[in-house]
Amino acid sequence: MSKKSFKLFANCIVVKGASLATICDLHRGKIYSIPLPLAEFLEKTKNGDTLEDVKEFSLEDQETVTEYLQYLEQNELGFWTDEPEKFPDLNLQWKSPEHINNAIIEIEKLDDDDLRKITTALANLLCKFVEIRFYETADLEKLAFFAENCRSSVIRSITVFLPLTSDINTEEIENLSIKYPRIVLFILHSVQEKGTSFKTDNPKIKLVSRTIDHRNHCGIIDPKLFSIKIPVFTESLNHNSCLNKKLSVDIDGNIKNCPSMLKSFGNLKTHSIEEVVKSNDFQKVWGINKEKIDTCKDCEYRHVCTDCRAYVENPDDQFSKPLKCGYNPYTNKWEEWSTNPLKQKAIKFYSFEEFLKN
Amino acid sequence: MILICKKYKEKNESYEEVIDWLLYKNALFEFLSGEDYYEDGKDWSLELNNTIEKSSRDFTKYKSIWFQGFLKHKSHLSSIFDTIECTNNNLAELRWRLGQEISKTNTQIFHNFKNAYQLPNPKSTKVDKFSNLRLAKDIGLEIPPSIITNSKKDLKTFFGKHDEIITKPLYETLSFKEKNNFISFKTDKIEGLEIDNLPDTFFPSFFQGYVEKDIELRVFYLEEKFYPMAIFSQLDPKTKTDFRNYNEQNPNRKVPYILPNEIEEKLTILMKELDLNTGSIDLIKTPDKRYVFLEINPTGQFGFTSKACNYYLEDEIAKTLVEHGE
Repeated sequence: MSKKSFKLFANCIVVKGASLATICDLHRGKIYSIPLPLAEFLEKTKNGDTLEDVKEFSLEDQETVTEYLQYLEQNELGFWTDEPEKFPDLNLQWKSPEHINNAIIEIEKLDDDDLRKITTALANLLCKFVEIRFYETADLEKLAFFAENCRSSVIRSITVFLPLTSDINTEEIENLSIKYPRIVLFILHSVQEKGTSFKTDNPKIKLVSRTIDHRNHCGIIDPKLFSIKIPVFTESLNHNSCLNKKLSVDIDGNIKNCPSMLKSFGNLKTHSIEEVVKSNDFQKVWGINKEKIDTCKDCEYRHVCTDCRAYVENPDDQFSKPLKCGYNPYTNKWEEWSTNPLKQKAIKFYSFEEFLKN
Repeated sequence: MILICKKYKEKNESYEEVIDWLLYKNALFEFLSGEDYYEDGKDWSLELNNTIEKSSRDFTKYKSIWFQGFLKHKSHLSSIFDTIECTNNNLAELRWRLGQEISKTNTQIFHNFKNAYQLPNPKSTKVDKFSNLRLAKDIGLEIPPSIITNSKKDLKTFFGKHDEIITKPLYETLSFKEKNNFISFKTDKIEGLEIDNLPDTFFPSFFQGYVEKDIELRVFYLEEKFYPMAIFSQLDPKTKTDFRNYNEQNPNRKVPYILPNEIEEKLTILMKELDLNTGSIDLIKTPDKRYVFLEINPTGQFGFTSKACNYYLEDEIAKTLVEHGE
């Protein structure tokens, strides 16, 4: 009988961590933990003679490996073939047709002039996704003005965060959702359990009880936020998983990589957004991929996970691990990050004590 | 300048992504659709006499044309057809005649592209599956046993020889809504019992012997380059006959594939013979490793091949248009 190789499907990719590996099924969006020796075996045997390769294990391990291969085959993660060379690896290139992919605008204090500058820049930069944030008051006229000025852009979707205050005009939100189809989601935050009679069947309007009154609510690292897809995986190989091609304008009009980060590259009253975005200085963080980040570089989830450069374990080191991550890739345990004794210094630095109490 | 020819009302994500790449490359482009000619009371003319030929729209500025479609009779021409007053007997004839007139007019509209690079040439996009099979066979590609017949007797003999057979349209695959049903022109398996229930003669139809599959191959072709994708439709009974009968919970595995040189060479000849510089080619690889040619879709969907294999075909298409459009 001719030799047969066991191969993972090209979009099921092995990622090795410090003590575990994963198979990232980028096609069906699932992730599987596997032992490191199996990961190494799969890489070695994919173009070889798998049944022969299995024999290199001890008798006991041979059984385990064979069971694993059966599991992978049954779950359609891999297949047997006698023509392995006909099934190449996935090409891991990544590119995107835009100068800025997504933008976060803290819109509350910005005036019409500012908004015009922003919408013009977003159109020129071919920005696709926009997040508008209101923290304390929701000014729907301002939102409408913004959406109107986005008409000639290639923006695919606008998500709006706004507080559900007692004086909010809910009918107007419904109207805006119809008038501007690019607004795909209104997230009404800070909803008090009893304080609202607002009900809606509109799938574009979502109510959340969480208070989002400040930018420091961002940066959470959680398996729920994993995105197991080809573009996310391939982008993460050479780029930052949060900040690449991201633009932010903070509440005071400062042009930043992210509203939660301290560094400003100038204010939009005095600086051109397009010029700032073009600069090497602004794009520096785009290249901080997971291989450069402490701990993340040893994590088996690194290519499907997000990142946060605004809140890190050691605020003096821009390559340190995200503060709000509770995963330890050396022990493979998830723990609550906010009570971790090693993180208390950073928690104090970012003045998180107050909001952690809530 | 690039001219993008499409049905405006047809929504298509991969088409939008090509536009994104064109914008990113600062390419200039404009649009053209059958709607510009058959709707909205816009006037136009094409004039030909002994000395001149002129068109009311200036086409000389377009150096490359991306042809993605032009007209959908049903949705675009309803206003014309709705006003026809005649007896049922003549309605079908009239509609067909009008369709022919429109098709001849379109040929003249496309004639304006003659000096531009065309991806692909609209003349070459009319699907004719049987002719393509004959051509493929002449070039030395393997094809499934095929028959066009209206005879129950002949179909029974054909069925007897091949055990499993399918039927499919000779023209394009499509479906449309009719009341609570869909009318579909698509690939379907034919059971022996169905043949028994047929009258002695029936509407002439196209049948093929079922080809046993190891994998299905969907190959995107662009300017002599191949982007093959293997589809493991065999793992799922739902998609065994045609992977387009999607199983959404558990989508068929789709991965990049490398075609044998010999097959690529023959397919290149086939595409040249058909004057197609792009298209999607369907093949089957049998368990004993034979490659069987099924059909070509000149303006078929390429998005799912591009995404599953990370080929960035949208960028490749945009690049091709830009290179020829300058």
